[in-house]
Amino acid sequence: MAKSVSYNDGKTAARRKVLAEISGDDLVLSNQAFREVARWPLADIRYVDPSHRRPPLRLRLAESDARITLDGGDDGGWLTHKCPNLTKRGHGAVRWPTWVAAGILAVVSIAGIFVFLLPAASSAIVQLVPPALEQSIGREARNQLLSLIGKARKGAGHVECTNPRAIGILKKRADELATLMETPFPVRVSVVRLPIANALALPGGEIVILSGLIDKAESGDEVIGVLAHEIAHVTRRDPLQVSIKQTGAALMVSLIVGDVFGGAALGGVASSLIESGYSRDAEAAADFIAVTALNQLGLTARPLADFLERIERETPLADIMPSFLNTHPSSGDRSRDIRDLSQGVGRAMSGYEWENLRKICD
Amino acid sequence: MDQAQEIPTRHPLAFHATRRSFAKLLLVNSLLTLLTLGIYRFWAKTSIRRYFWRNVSFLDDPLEYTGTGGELFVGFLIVIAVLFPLGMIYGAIQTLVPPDALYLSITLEVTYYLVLFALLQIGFYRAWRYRMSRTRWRGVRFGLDGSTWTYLRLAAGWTVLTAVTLGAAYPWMQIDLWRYQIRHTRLGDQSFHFEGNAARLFPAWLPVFAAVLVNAGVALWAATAFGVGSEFAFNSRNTEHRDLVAMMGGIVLFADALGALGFIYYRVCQTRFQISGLRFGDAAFHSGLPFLRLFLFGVLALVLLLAALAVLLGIFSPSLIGNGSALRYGTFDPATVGDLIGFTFALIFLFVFAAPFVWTLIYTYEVVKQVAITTAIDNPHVLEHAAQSESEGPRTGEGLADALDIGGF
Repeated sequence: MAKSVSYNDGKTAARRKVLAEISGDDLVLSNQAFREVARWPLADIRYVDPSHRRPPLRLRLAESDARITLDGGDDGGWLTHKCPNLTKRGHGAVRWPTWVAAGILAVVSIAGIFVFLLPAASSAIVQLVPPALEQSIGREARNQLLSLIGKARKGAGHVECTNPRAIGILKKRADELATLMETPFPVRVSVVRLPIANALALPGGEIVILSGLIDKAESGDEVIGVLAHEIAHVTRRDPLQVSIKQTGAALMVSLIVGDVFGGAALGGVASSLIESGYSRDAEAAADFIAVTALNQLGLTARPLADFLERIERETPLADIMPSFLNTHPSSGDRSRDIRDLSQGVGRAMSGYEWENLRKICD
Repeated sequence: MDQAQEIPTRHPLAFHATRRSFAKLLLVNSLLTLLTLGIYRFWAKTSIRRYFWRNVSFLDDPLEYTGTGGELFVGFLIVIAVLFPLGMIYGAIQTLVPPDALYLSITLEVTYYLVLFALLQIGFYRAWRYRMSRTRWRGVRFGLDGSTWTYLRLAAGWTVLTAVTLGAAYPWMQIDLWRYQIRHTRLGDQSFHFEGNAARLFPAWLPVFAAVLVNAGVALWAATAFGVGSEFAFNSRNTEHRDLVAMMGGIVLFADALGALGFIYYRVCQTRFQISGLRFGDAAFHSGLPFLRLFLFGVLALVLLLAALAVLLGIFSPSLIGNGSALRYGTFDPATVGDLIGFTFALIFLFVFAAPFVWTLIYTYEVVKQVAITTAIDNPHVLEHAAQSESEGPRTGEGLADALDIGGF
């Protein structure tokens, strides 16, 4: 029995009422005078929108712009049961193996950007930066850091510890080490009143030691060991590279996460997690340079290894965190390598000097 | 066309969606987008467009969206390939500019905003081209001709003029750009056109323009009264000065609040005006888009979003503020790393899932619904004469618009 359907021929936006009837392997559309208007092979009939199969049902002819719309009360069962390819996609459409391949490729290339391209690009850029420029960036960064810490601890005394005798002890060793390591710029050591056992190298030879590090240290040799390590980063210009790398990573994350409100903010936070510090290679290289310089001065590097192990023991979270989130990964390996390399036996300072250094923030 | 004459001359669009069925679709798509950290958004967008398109019908036949998520994704990859190196170069230059090189950093900033402006215009026009080419009615494709570059030049010229006139030319800019866009939009082989004089839109713009004038006036007053070389150097201990400044500040605040409200009102008026001026041969569109209803739905969505953000910040801010400096330099106390990760996931949840979900379900849905049910077309049967065009439009879509976050759903 013929059904009444609406027909768009795909050539104009006109709509015609036609009679539809299955004849053999074809759907035959004919006008009110029973003259054939179109003949659609059943195998070439598709849903217009495969995700919507409720009446009024709309169907199209594959590789054509023609459409038919069934009546609202017609569930189309008489026709759809005989059409084998209702959800088949056209020539242009991409099939699922291609998607899997493209997906894998996309993941691999994004990973590639983070693992290879970003480090490579950032170290290439670092080579283009004149040392004088890095120095002025570093000065700015140091001042910003100090004023940030100042705001965070407002009114709790001076931010910077400037006991001249203690600073003098640090400066003497820092200058010796910097000369041996051939840093591209002179090193300036600032000590900041903050109860966290850490030290960081900023671009341009600016080294900031947090007073918590001196409190946690059991000897002056440990402090000098950490100082040597940070000066090694200065020599390698790692701090500048990390900040360039983070800019790139933030950009990448906000592009991938895409058009969501605050994608950029998210990019900032996520990238500082992903690119949270120096790579293992950079750390190992800095250790090597530091221990070599200490050896040349005849000083022992073993206290540095002791210090690393102690810090790791006291911050249990560091073990749980995946190592890519951790600023100083795999302290165990590092300590072993440092002990293996260390040849010196000399102490970095006398007991009297150590007593003075401990008073740096008084 | 015997049947055509029987139908009344003014024919409204029809909207068949329900918020319940839309919520279900949106929830599934938002969850998938969240689980894939945003990558699924191209397919989500496509399925939401399909839903909206097929639920708006005219003369008993729905619109049809034929775009695919794959096309959007490929467009995105292409733009990444172009924008990423550009962004890296910009980032590198920005890092390298010494803090005291004022002119260099100003030049850099200006260049950045010029490039961004151009990309926004190009992205918008190209996104419209893609969308039109993937929209059909009764099997006939829409399309967009015209040149992206001409559109960009037009937009640049009008932007300068708008700036010079302190914003007075804004309605003329919007309508002239719309005119260009619509004149090049086709159904099949026939173009639309636009009839309307932007001067009629100007009254709706007046509150915003007045706010701009108040701001400019107060700035001018401040510059002459307390500026360099003025006779009355500002003295905060002088009560008369202090009261005067406080009063001026109050006036500016009040004017800006009214101006912001006025801008929302203007946008609704403009959309109504833009639709009402659409012509297709003898067919004329008419829109009665309501302001108050859209405004209230927007406020509702915004209140819900801010509440969610406040809850998140309340949970995580204490530990984060304490470690702000460590965050900046990439070295932090391991004890706070846990909080930081938690906060990151909360941010992802909020921005990738909750915010778009709430906003789209409450506000975007209402906009689509109101635009559809308040639009009617006089002499609609002209549209039936549109004949299919050969042009199939671009192969991939919207990468630039996606990267720059323009264009609603």
